[in-house]
Amino acid sequence: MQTNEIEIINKKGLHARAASKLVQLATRYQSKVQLARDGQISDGKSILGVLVLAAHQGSMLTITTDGDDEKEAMAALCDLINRKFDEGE
Amino acid sequence: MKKNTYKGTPISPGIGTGKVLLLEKQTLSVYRLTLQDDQIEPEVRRLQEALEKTRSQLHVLKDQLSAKLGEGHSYIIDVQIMMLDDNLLLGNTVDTIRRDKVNAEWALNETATKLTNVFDSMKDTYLRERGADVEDVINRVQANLAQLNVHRVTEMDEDVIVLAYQLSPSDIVEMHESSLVGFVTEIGGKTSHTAIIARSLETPAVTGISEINGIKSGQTIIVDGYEGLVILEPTATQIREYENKKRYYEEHANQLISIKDKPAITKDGRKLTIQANIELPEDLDSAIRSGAQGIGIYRSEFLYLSNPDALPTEDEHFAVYRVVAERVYPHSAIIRTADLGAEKFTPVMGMHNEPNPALGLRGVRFCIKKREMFKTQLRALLRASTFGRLKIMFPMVSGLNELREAKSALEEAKEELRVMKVDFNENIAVGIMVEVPSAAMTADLLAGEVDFFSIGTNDLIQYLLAVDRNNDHLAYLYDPIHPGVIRIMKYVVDKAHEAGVKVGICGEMASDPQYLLILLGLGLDELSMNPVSIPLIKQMVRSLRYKDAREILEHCLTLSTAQEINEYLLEKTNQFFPSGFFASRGPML
Repeated sequence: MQTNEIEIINKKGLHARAASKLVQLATRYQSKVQLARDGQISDGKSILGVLVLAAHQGSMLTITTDGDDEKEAMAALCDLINRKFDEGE
Repeated sequence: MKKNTYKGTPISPGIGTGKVLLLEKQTLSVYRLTLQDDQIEPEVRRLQEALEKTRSQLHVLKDQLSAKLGEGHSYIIDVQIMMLDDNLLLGNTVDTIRRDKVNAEWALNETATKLTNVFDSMKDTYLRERGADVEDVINRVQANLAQLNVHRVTEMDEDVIVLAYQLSPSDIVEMHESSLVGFVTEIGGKTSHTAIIARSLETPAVTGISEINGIKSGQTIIVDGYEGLVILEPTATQIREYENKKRYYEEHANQLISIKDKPAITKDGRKLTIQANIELPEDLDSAIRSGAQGIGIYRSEFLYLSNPDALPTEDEHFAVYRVVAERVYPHSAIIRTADLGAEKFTPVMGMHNEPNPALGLRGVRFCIKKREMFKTQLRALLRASTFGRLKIMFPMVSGLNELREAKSALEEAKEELRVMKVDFNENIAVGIMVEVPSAAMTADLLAGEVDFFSIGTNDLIQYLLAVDRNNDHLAYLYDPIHPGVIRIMKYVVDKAHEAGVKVGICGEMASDPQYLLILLGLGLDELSMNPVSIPLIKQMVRSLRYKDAREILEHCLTLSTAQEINEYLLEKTNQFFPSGFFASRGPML
């Protein structure tokens, strides 16, 4: 199991487009993906789950991946967040 | 404003004229039915079929949208398709059907209530508005369960303007297929997906219009998505005016945009700074696109009003001001501190309705009373000041004591940051809105203790003439060029310049071509206006001489009534801008 805490740095936070990119990416991996913010835990493969986290810019997100490809999944998700979801701000 | 004209918030620019189509707020009544055991699995299948049907409808919409706008915007529908597959929606609803032995409609309604409650309680406006996307998806599934036609508007053979409580992005896409030329809603913000789609499809739209007395489907209506106006049963003159305005935009918009990067400099070399008035970070795009040389006023109330339950935190303020500072750089952005009070407050501020709000606890008076709230905003502004060129402006200052009081709060905020070793610009410029007549008449005293003035003509005129500008009975008295107004503005500009302080203007008057000669002649340094007006005003400045404007102002000061001044100005404006310049009459004429 991998756990990592990461800051949401893009301007609009986990809004619709960013959330959908994150979910689409998470779904590509076998591993379970869990996101937590302020004590609220969501399935990283659920768009509604990700949206209800209401993770705006500056919020800290705890990502947990668990499964055969947990390392790759974690690396890809952190990379997407750090690339600001390729939104070209 | 004429009686048949209603003011809302513009969310998508353009002008549309068409027939009213009223869409009733769609409320499907949902009943609870108790199922027999052998009915449960068929009910689950019925839900799945409705979801499947919704999915294929959304795919059709997505294709239509991609065909029109490319893939860039279809993500909005993609997200809705993903929601359909989401376990939080499907799984929970199926669980409820099985556990409570209830019909799919009832179970789905329970899921919907839970989800929308979560979205409604979100602080971030942008994220909160995503609740509307969830609701839209669920309504579509409900309609499919009820086997209703989801198409709310079908087969229109004439231009139609839809009026509805709320519209979803998919509604807009569907209606755009037929003859939608504009829409008006009661709710839906500038940042809603509906607004984004409307702007992409270039469909004029206005929101925040709650009630139009006696309106019926089939009546003629104009939607002005530039200024947020809706005109019901327009007169022949109004129709002509809007046809001209529309033509003006179509013909001249591109030409004007081409001068956007040129300086606003008169033929004899006087340089003006033309800035934009904005309210939301989203407005930065149009400000920059129109060639604004900075932000003359960023109205910061939005952050406070978007969440009724809590005051914005320092970090929330900071995030916004930082974006403004960075995007506008190397130009400057003037952030006006909260002008709350009057009718603008939320329950959490502990305010009450006042008998005379315009003269009540508002602007800097309110901030001084709510010192901690005020300092939260000031600390955020100071922190953001290292990311660009921010300036701080206090609203509703009535005299020196109030200015000093506000500045002492600023000093405290600075000291708090120093203690915490947080970086900020020690020399951040501080100015005031000159909008209370007593401040204008003590401009000489105030000028010694500020870095800049910005004349807020909307309120200054209202207070000086004792005319409520929203009172229809008094509209004839609200005159921006009443000799009293010109004299007081001249006094402010002269006293500021004697003290070496720059003066701007940020009221609606600044965007009106009719008043440009006067504003230029007064010697104002900065004009701040609605982004839409910037290219035209800049073009006008570039074709005038400062020397001529000064002479015209001198002559205006010898005239005794607003009417005489108006006539003289009109004559002069026509002389400087003969046929052609306003051939199709500009948007603000």
